[in-house]
Amino acid sequence: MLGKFFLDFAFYYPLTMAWFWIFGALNYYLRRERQGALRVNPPELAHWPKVTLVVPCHNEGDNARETIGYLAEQDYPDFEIIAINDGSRDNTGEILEELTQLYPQLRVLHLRQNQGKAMGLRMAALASNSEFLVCIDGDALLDRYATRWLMFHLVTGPRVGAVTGNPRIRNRSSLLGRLQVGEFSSIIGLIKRAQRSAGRIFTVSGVIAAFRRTALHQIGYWSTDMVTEDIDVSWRLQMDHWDIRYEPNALCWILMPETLKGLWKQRLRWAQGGAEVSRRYLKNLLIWKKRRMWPVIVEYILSVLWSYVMLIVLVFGTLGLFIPLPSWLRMPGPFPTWYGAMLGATCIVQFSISMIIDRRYEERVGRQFFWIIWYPLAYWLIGMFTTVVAFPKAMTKRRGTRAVWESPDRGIR
Amino acid sequence: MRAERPIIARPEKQSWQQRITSRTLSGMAWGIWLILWMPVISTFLWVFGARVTYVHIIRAPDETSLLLIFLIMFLCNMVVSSWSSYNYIRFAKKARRRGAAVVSHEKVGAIFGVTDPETLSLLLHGRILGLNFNESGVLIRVDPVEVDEAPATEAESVTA
Repeated sequence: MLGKFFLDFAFYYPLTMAWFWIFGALNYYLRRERQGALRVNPPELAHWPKVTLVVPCHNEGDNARETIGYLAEQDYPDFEIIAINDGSRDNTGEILEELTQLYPQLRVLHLRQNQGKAMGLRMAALASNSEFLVCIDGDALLDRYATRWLMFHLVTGPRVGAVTGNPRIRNRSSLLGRLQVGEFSSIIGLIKRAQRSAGRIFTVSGVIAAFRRTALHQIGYWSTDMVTEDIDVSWRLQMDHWDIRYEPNALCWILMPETLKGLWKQRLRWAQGGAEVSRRYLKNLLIWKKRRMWPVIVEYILSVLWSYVMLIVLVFGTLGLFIPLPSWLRMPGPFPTWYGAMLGATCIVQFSISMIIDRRYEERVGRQFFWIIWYPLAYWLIGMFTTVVAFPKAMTKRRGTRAVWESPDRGIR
Repeated sequence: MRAERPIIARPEKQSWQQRITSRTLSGMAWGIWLILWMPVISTFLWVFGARVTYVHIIRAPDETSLLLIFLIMFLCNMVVSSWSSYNYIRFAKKARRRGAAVVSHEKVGAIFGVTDPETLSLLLHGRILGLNFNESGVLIRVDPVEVDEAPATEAESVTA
């Protein structure tokens, strides 16, 4: 009985969420995207306020030239670039200083000690000469038209506090890299569209997001003690009734881990970030005025419960193969039969729809279809294990512990 | 238009064993995926397969009814479309909340503990700056840095 309940929850939760994402994304696509302008024809703005392009860098000697080069090529009339060298131990600082000779818009802030990404962003907001900040990571390449697409929302919507862009994965040599291409299209892209349709976004993508400085000022800027400053700032902006938009035309090319160890570390950090934010703000959200955030927190809580339930199903399903279990705890083994077929079919529909939507932004994206057959198993499992490990870690973390940089795995290059 | 240029796809940088393994594993997963569908495939392959479908999909007590899944799909669609349509009608093209007055540089400086106009001006206009913090992460000093020159001495720097 209990076993059946667990099994049903383990099956129906991802199935229901997948269909929410599919229909939410289709809704967004049909209403806002299909008839919209192409990426190379961003909308004209009534005025062109100055923008600060912000790049926090920690040990980015290999990437800084390319990243800054792409920023300098932005199709926007008035911008400055602030690069933050956050206590790098490599030659990032020298390269950035050298680049100031090449790019007159570039300014460099050397943080003498490693202070973490959030502090780097805070210092950029302090040194910025503009009301608008477009923030990317030190190893990311911002598409030439992205700033204009992001600024369209900030200029036309006075209550828009942030706009999140569309991260695209550059490194796709290995199976893990290709799986993540599928993931960013079919899961992250679909979720962002669906959440935008619903009105609230779980998080901006830290690797490409634009902010209104006044909105950040009202919430006290980025927190330095959260492992994922992007989830934290997204929740606080929306709790303060600022709108967050998603702009799929604002592309940003990113590097992702291509080793299991690198992927595990990254996903563990993401899982811990979600748990930390929920822990800190859950109490503040339980008032009528914040009701529009309720679906976000409910979905998050259900996803944590699902991870633990799934673990129980796997453990007892496997145990049941070898030792007799009481009838109320019996599970039909760890291998998904008809449940698996239904989830598999749902995944294929989800992938197909995301590939159709994504054809607007990337050529030959359908090629990834062959590889993503592993996605449901690989990523739902890694999601489950990282949540199970990260949740207690986040619940017991001491408030005020500073989050500083660790250089991530950036795949095969 | 679509973008392709910055993509890094160099499978040849992996060993041939890694490439073969990736392809074989994905091929095997597709095989397993097809096996999961045997109850459905059998309906097309075997004239009495209709009974198998009925047993596995509609009536089997242990297996989820396809009808229930269609109901879930229908409900998800209804909830998403009606909620987003409601929001669209209520909020699109209408500013229900006013924008906030643009925050001044002085106010931004104050929140970070920079109240001295000279330091603020240096932060806003300096080309290359060195920022020093105390152990609690509070900005304590800002130094201008000249390219190809040694970092500014403490006497030249501005204390926040």
